[in-house]
Amino acid sequence: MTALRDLSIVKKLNLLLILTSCLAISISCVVFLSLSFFSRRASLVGELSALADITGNNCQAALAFNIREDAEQVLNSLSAKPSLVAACIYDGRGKVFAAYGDRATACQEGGQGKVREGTYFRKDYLEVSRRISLHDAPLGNIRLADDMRGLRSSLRHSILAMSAVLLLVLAAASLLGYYLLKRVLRPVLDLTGKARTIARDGNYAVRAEAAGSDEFGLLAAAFNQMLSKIEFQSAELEEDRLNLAARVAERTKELEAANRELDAFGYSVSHDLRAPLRSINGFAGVLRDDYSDKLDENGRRVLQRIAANAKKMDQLISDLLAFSHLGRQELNFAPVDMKELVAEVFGEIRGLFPEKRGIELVLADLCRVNADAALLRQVWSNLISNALKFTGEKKTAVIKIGCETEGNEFKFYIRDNGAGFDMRYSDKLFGVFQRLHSGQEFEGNGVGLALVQRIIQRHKGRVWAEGETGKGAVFYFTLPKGGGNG
Amino acid sequence: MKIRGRSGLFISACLLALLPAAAPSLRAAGGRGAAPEYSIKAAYLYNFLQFVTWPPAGDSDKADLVIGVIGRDPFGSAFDEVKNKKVRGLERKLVVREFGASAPPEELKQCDILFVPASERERYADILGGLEKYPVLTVGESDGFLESGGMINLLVVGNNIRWEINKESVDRAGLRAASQLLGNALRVIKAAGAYR
Repeated sequence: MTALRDLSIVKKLNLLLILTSCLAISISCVVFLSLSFFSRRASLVGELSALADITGNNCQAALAFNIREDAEQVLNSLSAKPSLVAACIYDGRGKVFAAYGDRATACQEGGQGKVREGTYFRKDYLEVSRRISLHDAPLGNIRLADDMRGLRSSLRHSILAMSAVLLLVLAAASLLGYYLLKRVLRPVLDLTGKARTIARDGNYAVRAEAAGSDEFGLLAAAFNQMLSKIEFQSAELEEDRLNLAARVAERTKELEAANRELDAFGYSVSHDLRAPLRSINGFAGVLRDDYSDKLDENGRRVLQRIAANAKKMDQLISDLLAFSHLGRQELNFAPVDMKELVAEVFGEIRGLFPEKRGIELVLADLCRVNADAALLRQVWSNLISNALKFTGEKKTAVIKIGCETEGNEFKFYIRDNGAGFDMRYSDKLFGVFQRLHSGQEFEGNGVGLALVQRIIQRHKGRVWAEGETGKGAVFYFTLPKGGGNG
Repeated sequence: MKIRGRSGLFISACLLALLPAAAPSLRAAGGRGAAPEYSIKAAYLYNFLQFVTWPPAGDSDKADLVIGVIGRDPFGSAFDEVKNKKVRGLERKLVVREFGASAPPEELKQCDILFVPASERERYADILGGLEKYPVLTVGESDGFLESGGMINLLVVGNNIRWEINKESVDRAGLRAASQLLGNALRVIKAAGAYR
């Protein structure tokens, strides 16, 4: 059936045309032939009946006087009709009186009583049975059998003729149909061709030829309209694209320049800032080492404060450097055993808070990820130290770290029962230098979380936090399953 | 199909059971009192009634059809079964009358058929002479009957009974014999002479 569907429309319609013609002709032929056959047969029956009556009448005396030879002689005259193959005369008791031709055919029923009058259509013969009577008194019956040869042959001839006509019509219809259909369907064929060309070459300047105002014509006109629109929009799109590309190129250049400047700035700032810092540290050290006995309590404290602040500034500079580096750094992706990493980092940080008393760590099984281990270390470092910092006031710091798989991401969390934060300012958490708590409350320079966000973003993940003032905070970050590609 | 065998005539009589209405009864009649030959001849006479047309008489629907037998009646009861049957589709009673050997034509003319047995052979001319013009079908059963003016002569041929017709006599009496009767006759005498 698919093969039929894929035929050209010209062929399909032609086939349809031929089929309908054939059907129409066949039906007409069959009807006509049938009518003709039955009418011929009816007239044959009439003919035979008349013949039977005449012949029967001629045998009245033969039957009445029981003269077989006479009856047989009369029957023999039936040879004038070659299609009559057999005839039989029965007496009043149903016994065969005289016969002609093939007895087996005509003289079947006999001896058991009455021979029935009527017309019988046997397989190969037409039988007509009539009564013979003399002045209304029944004498016997006559039966004639005809092989309908005339009927058969004329039927054969008719069928042959009809078949010839049918074939002729088929041939003519298919030729004419093909030619005419091609002309009528030209618009569609043209349209198909043009559509194919356009699809292949993308040339929207092509148009279908005008095709009058029938359905095909309307189709062609609509098609052309669509093409014009597409052409126009295509041109516009191209223009926009070029514009956009130009702007993007421009912006990129600007961005690159800015970045370079930033880098340079950052680099020089850190190095230039470091120099005097080193100096301060050094001299403070000298004072501590060589002149601490010359200083009183206050003085030593002041010195200590100088050293501490210098150290803090150094840390800040490191953080800033790291932060600015991050932008240009290449990520090294490798499978990371998060649990091990977290445990390690936790140990280190823990060591930095020796005065801390109860610290409870709940470390669930952490998912294995593909990520840059060093950077992740920094992430955990910052998050854990934050957690410890902000639970400083609590008697026992409870820190829970875990991982969940959501869709095609790993969601890590670190939960603490520390000071928490006001959710209203949650979007400020991750900004550079943004601090929600003052330096008196908690230490920190505000770069840590910005760093975390930067790192996670480069891993194509997300960071966010939830918290409640006084009730603790939860920090989440996601890493894509496949490992982000920096 | 010729009937062979010793009881040819008897079998013929049986076969006359073909004959309309009279059929079974004739067979019975054949055993009852008439010789089989005369059963058949009686049936033939009945048939002649069917195959010959009489001119319409004044009181044409005279109730009875008369078969007259002159001289000694050889039929016996052969006509019994036939008497009440239809002839020519009409409900007319068949009556058989016997006439003396010397019955005059005035008496004989009331018959439709007059059967002249072989015993009256010598007197053919006398009997037939006066009946010429009357519509009486004369049937005989011996040679010379037709030559004497008789109309139908019955002959025994082998195991069958056949007949010959003198058409001239028939015409003269105003009767008409069906062509089938003429066709099956062994001999037909016409005006121009006899020929088969």
